[in-house]
Amino acid sequence: MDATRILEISDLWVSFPAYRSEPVRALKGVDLSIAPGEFIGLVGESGSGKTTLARAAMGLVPPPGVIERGSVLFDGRDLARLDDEARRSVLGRELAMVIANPRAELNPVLPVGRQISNVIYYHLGVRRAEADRRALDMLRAVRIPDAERRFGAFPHELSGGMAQRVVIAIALSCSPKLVISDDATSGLDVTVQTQVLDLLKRMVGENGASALFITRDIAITAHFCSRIAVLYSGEIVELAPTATFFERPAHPYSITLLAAFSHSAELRARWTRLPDAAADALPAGGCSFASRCVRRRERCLAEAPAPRPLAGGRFVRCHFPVDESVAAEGVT
Amino acid sequence: MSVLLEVQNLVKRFPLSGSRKTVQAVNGVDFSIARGETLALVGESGSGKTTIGRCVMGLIDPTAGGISFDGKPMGRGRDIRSRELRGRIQLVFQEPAESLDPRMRIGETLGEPLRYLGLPRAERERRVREVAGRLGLAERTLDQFPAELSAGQQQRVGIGRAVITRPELIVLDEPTSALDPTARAEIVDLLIRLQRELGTAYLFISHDLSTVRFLSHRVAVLYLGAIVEQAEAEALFARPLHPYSVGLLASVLLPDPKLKRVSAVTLEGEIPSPIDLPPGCSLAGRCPFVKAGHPANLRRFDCASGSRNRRAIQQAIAFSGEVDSGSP
Repeated sequence: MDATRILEISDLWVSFPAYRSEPVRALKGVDLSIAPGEFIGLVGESGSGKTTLARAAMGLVPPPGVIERGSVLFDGRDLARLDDEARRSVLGRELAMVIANPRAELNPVLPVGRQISNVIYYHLGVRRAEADRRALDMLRAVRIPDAERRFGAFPHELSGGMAQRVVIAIALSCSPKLVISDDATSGLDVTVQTQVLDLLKRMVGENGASALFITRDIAITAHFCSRIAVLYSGEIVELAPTATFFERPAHPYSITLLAAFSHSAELRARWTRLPDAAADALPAGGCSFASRCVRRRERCLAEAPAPRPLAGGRFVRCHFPVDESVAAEGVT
Repeated sequence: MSVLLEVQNLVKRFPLSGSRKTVQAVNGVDFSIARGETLALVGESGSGKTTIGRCVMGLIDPTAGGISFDGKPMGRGRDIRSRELRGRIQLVFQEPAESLDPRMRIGETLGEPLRYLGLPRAERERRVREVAGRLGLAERTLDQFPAELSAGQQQRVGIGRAVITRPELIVLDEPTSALDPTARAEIVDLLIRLQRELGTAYLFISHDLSTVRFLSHRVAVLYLGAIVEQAEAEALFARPLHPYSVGLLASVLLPDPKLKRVSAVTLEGEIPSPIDLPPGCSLAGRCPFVKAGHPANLRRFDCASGSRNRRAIQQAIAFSGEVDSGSP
């Protein structure tokens, strides 16, 4: 175990059994590590395995999913191997998660202040009055106006943005070492989204904790993360420091993704291959992005690319990574 | 360009059960859309965007004010279901999967609106193939079911079902917000191409400002059921005048780590309840310029036109220049 890693995922394979066919492989050999105090962005589209990765990091691969191979170590421990009791003492205390739909996470029949205070009460073993006092402090810290009154409010009495602040307060109430945000702001208005992200970044940063920002929105990672991992079809296809990623993306999918945020339809047209009949007939065993790749060649169909290290601590999973001259056209 | 849709002083209130208060969803909105033009309505949740869209289609009657489509007033039986307007105004929904019948093949879904227009089968089939071609849908897709398609493909079908009647106006209610970024970009490009080819006007309802910027000719910024600023898209994004527009643009995260946000003008807090509108300027509680020491008792929504707020506007221009400088 490397002591400089708060989360160490190595060669992780997760699959879900399927009726009368091959199991569905949600994660295919994922390597990802997070250092203390580091903010990492994980971007990918729906179905790419983002949420499975987050669940695996907590040792909670949802049944009937199974870890086929590889390991996940949180602060040196494999949470999947702990018994429920031991895992509960870690989750919420050292490792916390914020999900997309705050109302689904909150208990609808319990005042929100009590929901925060419960976490503190059970995890930190303080007296109830002390837990309530700290819960109120947390409500103020996440800038809920009129915190004393809102302490007794029920989730349905709060707006979506307020409810998400409460969830963040719960997540941060025991000063966790790692916070996983699984698309935590996707349902919020742009104004509120930015406020919530600023809040999350400031509070996690003040604790010296790390964060994994899982999102579909690449713009979020640009402003809140130091490294970016791109997940496509269960594989991390590119991992790079944020500035490098936006200046010189190396994987064709990364460019397709950046082009989607660009204002140049021409650029997009050049980097987009619509799914066609030929793509359905591609042989198995090739690169998982081949069906949508504008640069695919013979070799991409025959052989899946292995992660290829590039300078500056990045890697790309592509036989023909994009060279700088192409990316320098200014994707953003 | 002739005016296709004219909305004048539109007011819509919804009654609250057990109370004499009302939800003041739309409070006096004016705008018009010319043939072949795109007007975007932008604003946060609760700003009244969808209510306006539904009034425009005639699905709900306004409390006051008038909407006229092609010179004749909407409402009271004249809606998208009426014989006279059928097929001339169409709608594209937010959730593509939920807006398609899961048991209908794509070809049937596309052709369904034409059945209600009474077109013969041969003509329907010809038009379905023509639209499939325009949408970039493969021939075999017409025999598939919605569940077999990706969300982006499903939304293509939703758009195809709208354009197949050759409408003059399409109301697009957040057509891209449920999609992944790559699918979103494809849909936006498709909408632009279709407009160029068919000359359809769009009322584009969205909270996604980067999409709005790309797709719209003009933009109306809504706040609590009133338009606080209406401008050409280029002008609005380059030089927003109203403090709310400035704040809204400043909260957009741009996909480039080098473009820093201007946190001094971002909006604090959230949109207030439309049941008890605050007195005075309804933005005052969140206004970045009020925060910076401007009087809170401004008259409502006079910021973009009133001279008393000149300093704030100048500041806004300065800030927006900063926000905008690195954008594509």
